[in-house]
Amino acid sequence: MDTELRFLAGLAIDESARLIRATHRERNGRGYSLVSLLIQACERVSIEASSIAGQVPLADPAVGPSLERELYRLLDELKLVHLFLGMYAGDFGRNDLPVGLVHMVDALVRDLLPRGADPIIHLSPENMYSTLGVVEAAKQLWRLTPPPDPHPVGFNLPALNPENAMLAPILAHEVGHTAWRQGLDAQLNATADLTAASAHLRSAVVPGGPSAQHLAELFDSWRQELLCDALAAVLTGPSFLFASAVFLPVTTGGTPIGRHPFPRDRVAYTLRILGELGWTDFLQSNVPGVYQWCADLAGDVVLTGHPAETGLRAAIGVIEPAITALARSAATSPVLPGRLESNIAEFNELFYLEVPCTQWADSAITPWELLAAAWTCEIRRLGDTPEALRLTCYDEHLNAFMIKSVELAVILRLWTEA
Amino acid sequence: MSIQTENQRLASIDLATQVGRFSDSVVIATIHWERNHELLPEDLPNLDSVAGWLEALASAIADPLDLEASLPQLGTLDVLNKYGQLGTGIKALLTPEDSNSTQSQEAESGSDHSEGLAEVAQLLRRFANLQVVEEEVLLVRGIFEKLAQAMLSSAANLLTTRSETQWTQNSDS
Repeated sequence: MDTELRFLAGLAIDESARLIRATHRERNGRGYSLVSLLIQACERVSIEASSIAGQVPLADPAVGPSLERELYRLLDELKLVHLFLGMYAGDFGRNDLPVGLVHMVDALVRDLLPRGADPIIHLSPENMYSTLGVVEAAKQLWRLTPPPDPHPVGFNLPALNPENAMLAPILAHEVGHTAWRQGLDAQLNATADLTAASAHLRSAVVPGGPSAQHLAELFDSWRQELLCDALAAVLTGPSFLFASAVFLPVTTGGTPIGRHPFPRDRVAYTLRILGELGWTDFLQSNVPGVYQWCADLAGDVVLTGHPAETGLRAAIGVIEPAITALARSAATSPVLPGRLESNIAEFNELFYLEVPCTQWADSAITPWELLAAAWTCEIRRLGDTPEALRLTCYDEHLNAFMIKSVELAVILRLWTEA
Repeated sequence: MSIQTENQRLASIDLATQVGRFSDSVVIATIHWERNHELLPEDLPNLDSVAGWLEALASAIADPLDLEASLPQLGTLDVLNKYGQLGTGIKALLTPEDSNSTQSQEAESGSDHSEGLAEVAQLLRRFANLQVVEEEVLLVRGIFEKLAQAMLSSAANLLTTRSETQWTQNSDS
């Protein structure tokens, strides 16, 4: 056992040193806090492995198997360090992305993450958006010295289409998952009526249906997804309705019960939030065709009538007010219907001339105001049809124009603040 | 929008590692007891936290739809289920090796798992107060050695298995 322990400890110490050497190439820039934290983790692993090696020969051989398991756990931790370093190796301090995209990510951090973040923009092979709060996902790596805020967060964007500004509301939803892990889950538990939700779920436990534990897991997942939807809807307003109508897409009718609520239920919820925030008049007067199409589909959810389906939808329904209230308090700097209504005519004139609009009255336009205005004007220009939604979303020229507009608006804001 | 399976996979690895460490802290406490029929001061908080964790798990398993109690435990239940520990039934670990197969079939229900965990938690509480006999300490050691080994295997499997469904849209497969 002594020989094996020395061998394993040596492996852990050598691998820690190799990983630390691998980080020497990148020392500065955005996302570097992750490198710094990973180096700390390697140093801690090396110290712990040395400490175990220092106990050899063992005074009490009975502890050998436990120490051996701990060394394997330490080696597993180094595999995680390697995974994170490998995944984000090209992303620390990168300067090959459009400045407007970087500003948009910064705005998401500022407006949605209660504890902030050091964002790492990563181009992922998956054609999907996601975020990864590394510290929250791998707590054991820093169990002895939890890192101070802000923590590094990976923003994973589709590698072949990272600059789609019109889909930024979907990224806002994904940032919601990190906000959830930063403490919104506990806040929701404190305010939501879980007793009433539980009663609905109990009625959904029937022979041949999902088990009670599975129902609890589905409920847990649904409430997280809906909070993420609510955060994105509050922050980006009608843009989230338009983006999710394309991205889900809203046409999706009956789907099996899974970790997400049904797409049409989600759109219906988005419409309810927008209504509560005062957006309905704006939508009905500016894009009545698209609004009605979304409302009709959202009101036509294809249901099976299974008790599990009924119980889950009812359970989520009773905590919906708490979800909405939490999202409204958590999302800062949201787009507001009054300000958009007052300025959309001026925006529209410049938009048709392809002149970036950066200021309304005396203040710089936020990314979310820009997006809401652009979505609305372009849908209207294309005829206010479902087809207009699709064309607007994936118009490369428009997306590039919006990224540049965000950049210029942020320059104006920084200039004004300075 | 993502189903966040990469986050879930990483969280499961993290939980398996944590449970493994918990388990070995109990094993080491039993070794201290075997040597001196005493516990070291650093063993007591470990035993207390592991007992508390088992009680919370037992409560979540007994009634998963008591959401206030169960929601914080769902991740750990998932990890234990991945390994199959609950499928086998921790209660089955309380029985001699040769009767495990029969016990595992009997221990299918949530209430059996819950009772098993609660029993182990009680045992740990009595162990912390030195109100146990040698056979019981050996039993505790056996249970947590198996759990520590199982969690090591579980973390290793999760580390090498990236979910095919990660970052996929509206997929639950």
